[in-house]
Amino acid sequence: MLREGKIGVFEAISVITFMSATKVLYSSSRALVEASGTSGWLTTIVSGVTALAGFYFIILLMSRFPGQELVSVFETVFGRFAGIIFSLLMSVFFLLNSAMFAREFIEAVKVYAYPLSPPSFLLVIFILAIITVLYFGFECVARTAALFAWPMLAGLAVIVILAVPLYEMSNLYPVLGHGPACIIKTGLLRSSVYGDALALAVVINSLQGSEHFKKSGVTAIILSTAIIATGFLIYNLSFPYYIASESTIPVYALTRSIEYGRFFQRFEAIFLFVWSISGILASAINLYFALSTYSKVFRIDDHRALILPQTVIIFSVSLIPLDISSIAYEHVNHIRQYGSAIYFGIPLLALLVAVIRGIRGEQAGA
Amino acid sequence: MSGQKRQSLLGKLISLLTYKPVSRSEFVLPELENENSRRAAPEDKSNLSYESEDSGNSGKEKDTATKKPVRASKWNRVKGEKGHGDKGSRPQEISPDVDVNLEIIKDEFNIPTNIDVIIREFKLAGMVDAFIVFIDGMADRGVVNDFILRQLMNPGQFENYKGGCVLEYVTGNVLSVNQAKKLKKYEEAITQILMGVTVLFADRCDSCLAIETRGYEKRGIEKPATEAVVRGSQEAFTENLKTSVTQIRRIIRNKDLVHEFFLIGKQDNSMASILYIKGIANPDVVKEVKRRLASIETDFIAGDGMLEQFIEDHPWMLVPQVLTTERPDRTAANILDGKVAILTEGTPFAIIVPANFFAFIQTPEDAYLRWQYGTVLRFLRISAFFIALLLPGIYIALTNYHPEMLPTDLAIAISKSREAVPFPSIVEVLLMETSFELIREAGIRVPGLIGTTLGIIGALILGQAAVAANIVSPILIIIVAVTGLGNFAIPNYSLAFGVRILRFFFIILGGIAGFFGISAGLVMLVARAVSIKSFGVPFMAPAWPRAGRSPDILTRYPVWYQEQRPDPISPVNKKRQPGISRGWVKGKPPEGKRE
Repeated sequence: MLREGKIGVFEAISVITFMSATKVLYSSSRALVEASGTSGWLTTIVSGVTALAGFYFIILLMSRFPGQELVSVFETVFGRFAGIIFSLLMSVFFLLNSAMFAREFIEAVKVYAYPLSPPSFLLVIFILAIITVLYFGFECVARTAALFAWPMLAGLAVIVILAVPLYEMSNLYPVLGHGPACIIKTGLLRSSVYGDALALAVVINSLQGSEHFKKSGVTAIILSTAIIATGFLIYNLSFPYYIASESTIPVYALTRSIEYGRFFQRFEAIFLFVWSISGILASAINLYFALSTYSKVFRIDDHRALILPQTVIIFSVSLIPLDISSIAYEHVNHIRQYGSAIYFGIPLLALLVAVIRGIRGEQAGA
Repeated sequence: MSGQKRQSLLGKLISLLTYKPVSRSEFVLPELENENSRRAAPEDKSNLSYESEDSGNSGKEKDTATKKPVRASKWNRVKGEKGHGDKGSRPQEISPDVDVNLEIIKDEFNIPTNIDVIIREFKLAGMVDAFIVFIDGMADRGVVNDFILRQLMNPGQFENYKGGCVLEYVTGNVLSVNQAKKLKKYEEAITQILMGVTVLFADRCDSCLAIETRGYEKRGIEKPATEAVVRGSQEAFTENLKTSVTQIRRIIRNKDLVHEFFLIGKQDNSMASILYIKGIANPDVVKEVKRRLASIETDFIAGDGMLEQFIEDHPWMLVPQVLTTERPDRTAANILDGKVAILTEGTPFAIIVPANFFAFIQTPEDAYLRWQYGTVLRFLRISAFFIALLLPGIYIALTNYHPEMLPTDLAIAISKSREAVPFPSIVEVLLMETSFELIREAGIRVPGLIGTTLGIIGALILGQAAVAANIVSPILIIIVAVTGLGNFAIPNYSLAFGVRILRFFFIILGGIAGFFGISAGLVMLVARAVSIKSFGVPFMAPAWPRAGRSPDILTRYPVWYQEQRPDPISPVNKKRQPGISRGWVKGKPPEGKRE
């Protein structure tokens, strides 16, 4: 049995927030600006609320099977074979997320900071950092995320505060962007942005009880929604719509515009640290959940045996998309739009099957 | 290990790529029962077991008698036998025949070749054959002459002696020294003699008498050399173990302060003491300390530095995992927090375990100063830590990869200053950093005043000349100097050393991948730091993982606010003081003295 150790609520929140909120720093946020106009921040709040509702079903599912983690719940509910299929689907999805984070980051960093460096070279450094974090296990992943949580939040807060002179209220109008229907439709479609909270169910035994699971998941979704909504709000406040929809990495563009006199200008230095560390951690965390799910499915005791093969897969998969446009408009966009089916659809299906067939965990009746 | 085959280079390379199953032999500090309750000290401390459960590693204090084999030739000679000098036939118990004892002692100490072991034969009260053994220079000659020999050789002292083993009578009626202990085994007697004790052997006695006469030259108590403070105690440990233990006892006048003693080096019989407070220290930590100390098998331990390497959890890490201090007050404060102090003979330092990262950036001064000043100092030190670690790497990253991030004026100033320098900035930085390390090392190695002068002259002249010769840019001199200052501001020598080495790692990362490389390096460093433990306690606790509310990590709250002992080390008694420790705030000033 995989030994994953114990983590606290703060660490669990940090893990999920890094998985979810980091997305605002990358190219997919541009797609949202294009889709919902000036109401990106409202749209993402709708996504957050939808994700909370989805997470409620995950809580219901897990509370029927106390002491069991998600892979084991799937096997109990769907049977061994179908359970393995669903679990592997989740594992592949986490892996894909990790690979896309890696490629998105590498493409963005290449465009803005390292035009002469080959992507594979940058990817090797990125993956070396991921391997180090994963090698020491889940406790290490969670603690590293918890340690960087405050500096990353502080970095974002600095950007929000320093960008104040750029804010122009008129840029927010029309407040409802392309209309309420568009907000709700896009918000519902992109609720997978906050679906990462499902990952907590994979390591639920590392959390100290189901109360911690609920608390961590709900807080992480709310916190991530707040961070992403703030990101969109300040971006929309700073740039008019026609400019906002043209920037590849919106928050990066924002940091470059900050200027206080001749000396204090161009704060992307802060952003580059926030960007790199968040990217590495988000990718590492996703990969850990892929490894954890896979190990649990095949009863592998030690996730370390899988790190090297999985990182080779990450390396290869992340180099499949042709360029940043195909990542932003095809791969990542599809992940965001259809990810909900994995994050919320499978657990909901499991819950329905469990209720209809009256399946409960062994400890539930005790 | 002689029995194991040395791996070939190819074998080592293959082993790097081969999967190895997890080895789970790491000590984990379990949570105490009733962990959540902030209870006070248990009334009954008798059920707290501080004895090591691992009998297989019982170490010297248990099996000293069987560890040192007696040479076959010697025992054969004494017994008049031939060909039976195996391990099982060596003498352990002291013989009632004083001649046998004399022969064995002479042989053990290589007398007459060995000139400083003194054996004085005489007749006790003019009747019983006896001899004393001591080491010249280790024992106090005055005590030996005036309080042992004079009285043992005076027949008047033995008027009431009724026969039998004379040692009982001597202990009760003759000797006027403060400590005299009967020993039954040669090994114990020899160990005592090596420590400066005088041992008396008498005929018809199957034991000997160890008489306290230790009196060797030692350095006096002086001011701390590396942990000086403006306010607070001005005394440091000395090389003498007994003095150091006494210094702690003088601070902690508590009957539950336990002092246990270990012999570690096989050849040099190095002494190590552990100190903890029964009823506060976690028994599992104490047992683990004892287990590690008792399991050491080496011929020579020269003080705390070597001992640290034998007992630390992660020897390959660049950061230290035990705290060393030369201050008795700091040691006492840590013991009172529930930690265990290890003192060794020969070095004026105490090792404190478990230790966490935050302990390495704290100084005793923080506690002596008002909390606001202490807090500011700690933030200054943590800034110094990051400057020392990252500044040269960031400079390289900025000049090589991200010049657009520099404000225009600064970018022009830097490029102007680098105009005539022929090297890339990474070579410049490595050159200056290496020179700085050379100056520092040379300054320590050359004697006294010349060292200080060399440091200043080296830094000034070398820097000035390097700039004049267009080898480095003036701005780099500032970078290296500030980095050096940052490094000196880290209060722990071992941590500062680790940072010096890690700095080069970040220079290289900054050189090959700019800020991204530094960020990746930071993630790797943090991942390692949060995954290591010191005696079962996570190195980055109590922050990562979070362990209770601690008012004394980076921000140091007022002393009256620090009601609990540090939670990560799981002390038995968590409560340091009540919620309201300043009783006067509850009461009122007397009538007529109020506003």
